[in-house]
Amino acid sequence: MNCKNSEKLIMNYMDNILSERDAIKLNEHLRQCNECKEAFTVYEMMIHEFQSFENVAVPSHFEQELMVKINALEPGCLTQKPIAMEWVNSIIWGIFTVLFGSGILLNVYNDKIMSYISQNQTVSEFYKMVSPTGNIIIKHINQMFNYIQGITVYMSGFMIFDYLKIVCGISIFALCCLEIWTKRSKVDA
Amino acid sequence: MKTIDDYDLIQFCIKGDQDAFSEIVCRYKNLVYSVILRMVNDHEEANDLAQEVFIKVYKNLDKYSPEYKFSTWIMRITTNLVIDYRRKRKQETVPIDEMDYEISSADTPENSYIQKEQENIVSTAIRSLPDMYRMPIILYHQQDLSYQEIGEIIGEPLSKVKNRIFRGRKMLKEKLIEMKEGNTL
Repeated sequence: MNCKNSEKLIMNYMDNILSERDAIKLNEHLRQCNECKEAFTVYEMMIHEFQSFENVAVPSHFEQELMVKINALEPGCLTQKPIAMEWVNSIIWGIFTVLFGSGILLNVYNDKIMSYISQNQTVSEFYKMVSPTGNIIIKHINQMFNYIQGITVYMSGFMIFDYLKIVCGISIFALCCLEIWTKRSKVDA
Repeated sequence: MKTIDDYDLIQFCIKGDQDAFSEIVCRYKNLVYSVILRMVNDHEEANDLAQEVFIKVYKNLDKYSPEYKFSTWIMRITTNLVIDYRRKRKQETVPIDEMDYEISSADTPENSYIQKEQENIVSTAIRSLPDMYRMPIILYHQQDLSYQEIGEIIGEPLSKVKNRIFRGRKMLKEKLIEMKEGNTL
């Protein structure tokens, strides 16, 4: 047996799972190898000391101090508040994801959707019926868009899309950070 | 009160029974305190941290799920808190050697001298281990927990726990031999 195997057996010995046959093998090796023998004595001393380690009693004022602190906590801290927060969080995320996802889909399949609308009669009739209100909304959006563009161009000469990209990027990044942070604090708890 | 099991006690606590929590504290205070004391080596710090652990336990009682033993759950909170605390302290650059000296002179003089001396040697050696080896060693050898339970506490698979304990023992052995040689020289 080599020293590496002997160390494995010593570990088994420390775990109290050394078989009788292995014990004989180990003994034989320890008789021949001084280095392993020294290691074994140290390990044995270690186990002996570990066994004498006892749990230490807390200071006498521990419990009293603690209960004062617990009593001082706001009474609602053990109720379902965290779960309510979880709900709010997930709803916000749900809405955000749906809006973001459908926005991307609409953008990607823009041409296909428009050609489908123009081909399908019922849908295009519906579209015509809705389009007056739609147009008003689009007009408002365009107005706002122009307004923002005016400001940003005035501010720094940025292209409006660059500006929007940065804003979107920062807000998505902030949301991700917030999510990770809340998850982390949950895991810590 | 002693016959009520932990899970029922927790349910009482959630319903607002402070006495039930006081019983939980009674059952686990020494366990939590001892493990923390082995990690931070200072009675006052250990006291503060143990209080923090129980406040955290109290605030999160409703999140406890009975798939784990309650002691495992408490140990998990303790481990996270202490390791986090030590990480923060390390950033404030506290020399570890200094902490070692403090504890060896602050122990209560109740055990016989030689016994205490040896225990101190092993304790000091344990203190030299990095946290990732130290915690499993303490949980296994001092608290007699199984590899399985330690895995649940530190959130690592069994093989990793075993590995860390084996390596931890080996590092301890080397440290102890080093200390022995240092003494005789």
